[in-house]
Order: sequence, then structure tokens, then C-alpha cells
Amino acid sequence: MDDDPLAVLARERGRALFGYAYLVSGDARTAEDLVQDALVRTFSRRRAGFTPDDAERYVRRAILTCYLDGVRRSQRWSRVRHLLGSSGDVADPAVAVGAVVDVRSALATLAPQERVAAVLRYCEDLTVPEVAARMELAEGTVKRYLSTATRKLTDLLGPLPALEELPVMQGKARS
Amino acid sequence: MNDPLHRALSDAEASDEAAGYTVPVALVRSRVRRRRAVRAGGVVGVAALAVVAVVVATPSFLPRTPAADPPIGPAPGVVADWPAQFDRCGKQVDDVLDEAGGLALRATLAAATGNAIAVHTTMAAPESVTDGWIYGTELTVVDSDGVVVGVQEGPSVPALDEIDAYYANVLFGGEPFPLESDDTLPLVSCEQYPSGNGSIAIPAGSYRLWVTQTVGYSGKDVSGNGRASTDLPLVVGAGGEPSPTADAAAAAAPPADDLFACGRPVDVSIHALPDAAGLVLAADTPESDWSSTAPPWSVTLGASGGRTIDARTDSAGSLALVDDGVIVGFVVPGRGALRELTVGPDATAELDGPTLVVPCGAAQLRGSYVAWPYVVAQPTRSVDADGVVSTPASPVVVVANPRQVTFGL
Repeated sequence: MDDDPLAVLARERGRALFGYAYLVSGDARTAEDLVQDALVRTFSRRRAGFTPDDAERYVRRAILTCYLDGVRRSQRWSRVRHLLGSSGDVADPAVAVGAVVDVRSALATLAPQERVAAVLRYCEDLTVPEVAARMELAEGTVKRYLSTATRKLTDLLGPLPALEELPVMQGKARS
Repeated sequence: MNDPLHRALSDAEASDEAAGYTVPVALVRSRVRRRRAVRAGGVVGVAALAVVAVVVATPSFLPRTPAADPPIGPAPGVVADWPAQFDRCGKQVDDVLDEAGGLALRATLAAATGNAIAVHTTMAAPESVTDGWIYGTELTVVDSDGVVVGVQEGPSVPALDEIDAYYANVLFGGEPFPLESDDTLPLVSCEQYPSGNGSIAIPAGSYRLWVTQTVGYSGKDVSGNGRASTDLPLVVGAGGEPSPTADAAAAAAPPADDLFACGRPVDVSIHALPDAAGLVLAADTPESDWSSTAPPWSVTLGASGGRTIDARTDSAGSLALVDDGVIVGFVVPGRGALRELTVGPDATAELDGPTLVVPCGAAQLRGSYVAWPYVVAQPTRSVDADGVVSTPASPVVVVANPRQVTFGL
């Protein structure tokens, strides 16, 4: 049995990494790709004294980066996609709401950045500044994502933990 | 505290999907080794040949004055023994193609031998750009689910933000827009990637072929690198040989072929314009100065009957050119940036951008034609004068009154 950090991490934490990627992306196939890409990114750099625990932290960070990079590329392209070829490319939130309402289907109603912000804030218990650092965004932007996400998730899941640092959004929320 | 959200990570780890998941360690190791090799710059292989091929295949764009040697080594993003385009394999096409520069690309296909397809491209640029050069043309074969199942064999084109560094020692000579090119490129299957074991032949069937071209451009006050794509139907035979479909020419025409199609009579009249869900169109077109390059012109969208309409459109306007009652050509934009716009009693939206002249068939356009301006738009929300809100469902073709334009006299 291989005992190098990659083998150990894959064997002992593979499902946890998949679960993290699954929660972030909302799609099992995407999650598989994210885990694989994140492992490649992490282990392509040789690091001395690299333990599986160290590696897991790197891989989780890389999963997030890979996903957000993909979302940004997708958004860039969706702006120029031909409208006649794009019917049905926007998920109808009502469909998801009508489905079994659990956390994953609730998260599926969020825009990608909102979902990542919500996962980091509510599932990983990071603070808003920490979420902003992970997402490489301004705190104000993260607060806006969290405000919108909180409103949508509260409708589906009930009250969420109080977020003192979130501003009260006036008027129409922008996502 | 909302417990389900707090438990979400452990729930996802314990999900059925996670239970069936195993990290493909051997594959990860293989990719890590290749990535390390690229980092070390130790593997040239196919990628180096690809670089040479780029330079050799585009002699008209080689330096006006020979500069230093062309770059040697794998193109940025090339994974050692796999040219970079294979990285698109298995991904959604929307996630792997990008654009920049406000360019407009159109393409036509012709059969070639074996697994190759001949592609003719025409790239137009905004008015501020005077000349440009082509870095390369790439092909992406996409199945009905939008997944990349094949790519061109041979060279890849560096990512947009890496081009300047990659070609730092190469000078490209410019030519006036629109830029024309002809390439014959082999298409190969993604099944071989990354193990190298699968078939190189794309399975027989019907696909979309995305043609992507990367160019550099310059003008009086502007310069840069840009990229644009367009897609066409493609059929692959039992032996993996690609060919254009019978309707490829129609597909290359602008997307309003219910109303306007090559060789057909015009189906609209001034008194019977199509229902455009309240959208109306005006056009500002010069009467003369038309040639293979369209002069600057624009259309303006508005709303009728006191409505306020939210809509999306991704293009400048098109013109259907009519001679003796039959459509003989088009002036068309490429796939422009998608615009969200609102028009109403006090608001209109002007659309302009680079356009291309596309004759029906091989004939040159010369003389005077009746031109019907039109725009394809997707209304998303409409509020009438009484405040009643509706949500139109389908894209509409908004047609302006016809006018006369004269080509090349």
C-alpha cells in the first residue's frame, strides 16, 4: 500500500474532498473534476515535509480556486453566447424549490459565487473577511453575495445564524 | 442555528455520490508528472513541432523584418505530450471558449480528405481597428450536450493573456480587416485523452463545430489581441471523416432564416412586418460606400405603444440584401457581447459594431440592392402603458423599413 501523501490523502480523505467539491459546485461530475484538478495543482509543486493534513488544506483551497476560475470563465463566455442557442441555460429556481428541499437543492438555487460564499460562511464557519480572502473578493462584495444568499436560503431552510456583519440591503439585491 | 446547513459538509461526505467516488490516483500521478515536466521545461515533443507549424503555416503573417528566432518550447498551457487544445476535452464548450476585442468571425466549411476539414474564415473588427494578423485558428467538436468530444490535431494557440510573452520575439505584419484565412485541419477524438489508449477517430454522428480564431490588431489609438468564435453543423462519417452538412451554408447565414434566407423571396413587407412583441427598429445606413467591407452603420431599438421593454441581444444589426425580390446576400455581425437593454417611451438603444458582407454563393455584390435592416432580440419583460407586466417567451426578429444601398460602383 502506498504511503506517500497523495495516496494517503486519496485513500483517507478522498470522499471528504469530493463532498466538499460537491457542496461547492452542486454537481457530482464537476466535483470529480474539481478534486482531480485540485490534486494535480497541489502535488505538482514539490514541497518538503508535506503531510496529508497539509495537503488537504491545499487541496480544499485549490478546489475553491478551480471552481471560481471555471465560473468566471463560464460567465465571460455566457455574455457572448448566442441567445438563440442558449435557451434553457438558466435554471428555473422554481423547479429547484419544488424539488425535495434539502441543503443541496437549496444551495442549487444560488448563483455560483453566492453558493461558494454561503458554503464558506455557513458550512465552514469562516468569517466574512476570511471568506473574502478565500474568494479573492472585497468584503463588501462578499457581504452582498451573503445577503442575497441568506435571503434565498432563509426562504427555503428557515432562519440562518445571525450575521452581525451583514449590512441590511436596501432595494433590489443585485447578484 | 440552522443545523442542516451546519451539517452540510458531513452530509455531502456521506452522500451516495461520495460513497461511490474513488480518487483516480494513477491518473492524478500521471498528470502531476506531466505538469512537473512542463514546469521544468524539459519536454518539447509534439508541442515544439506545433510551434514550428504555427509559424510555417502562416507565412503571410511572418515578420516584415525578420526579428529574433521564434519562441521555442511548449506553448503556454501545453501539457507536455498533449497540445493544449486537448485540455478542452470533456468540458462544456461554454466553459472553454473565451472572446475579446469586439471582433466578428464567420466561417464556412468544405470537405477535405481523411479526418480533415477545410475552413474558410472572415474576421471583422470595430471601425477603430485598421489592420491585424492571425495567430491561429482552432476547432472544437461539440456533441448535442455541449460537451467537447474532439479538437484539431496539431498546434494550439496560446491563451490570450500569454500571447504577447509567447511571441515576444516575433513581429507580425498587419493586413487590413476583414482578415481572410483558409485552413485545412485534421479533427481527432477526445477518446484518446489523456490515457492515449482511445480511438483517435471521432464517432460517426452529428455535431457542432466551433471555429475559434485568435488575432492581433492595431489602429490609430488601439492595439491588442482578440479572439472570436462561431459554430456550424458538422457530420462525421463512419470512418471518422468530417464534412459540412447540407445546411451548413444556411447555418452560416444570420439567425433569422425563417424570414430571410439566401435565394428566397422576402417574406415581409412594410405593411406586414413581423410581430416583435412591441420592439421597433430604426436604421442609419449610408446609401453608398458598400463593398466587401461594410461602412459604419447602426440600428436603434425602441418600443411602441408606450411600452417599456427589457430585452437581450448579442449583436449589432443585420441587413438582408434583395435583388429583384430575391435575397442575394447579407451584412451580418458576429457574435457580439450580450447586451441587456431597456427601451421605452424615453429610452432607445443603439446597436453597432463590426459587420461582414456575406454574399449568397460566390457572386460579388455590385450595384444597388434593397436592404432590410433587422435585429434578433430576446424580450424578457414588458410593461404596457397601463402597467400590465408580461414576460415574452421567444426571441423576436425586429425589422426596420427597407432602404437602398449601393455596392462598389
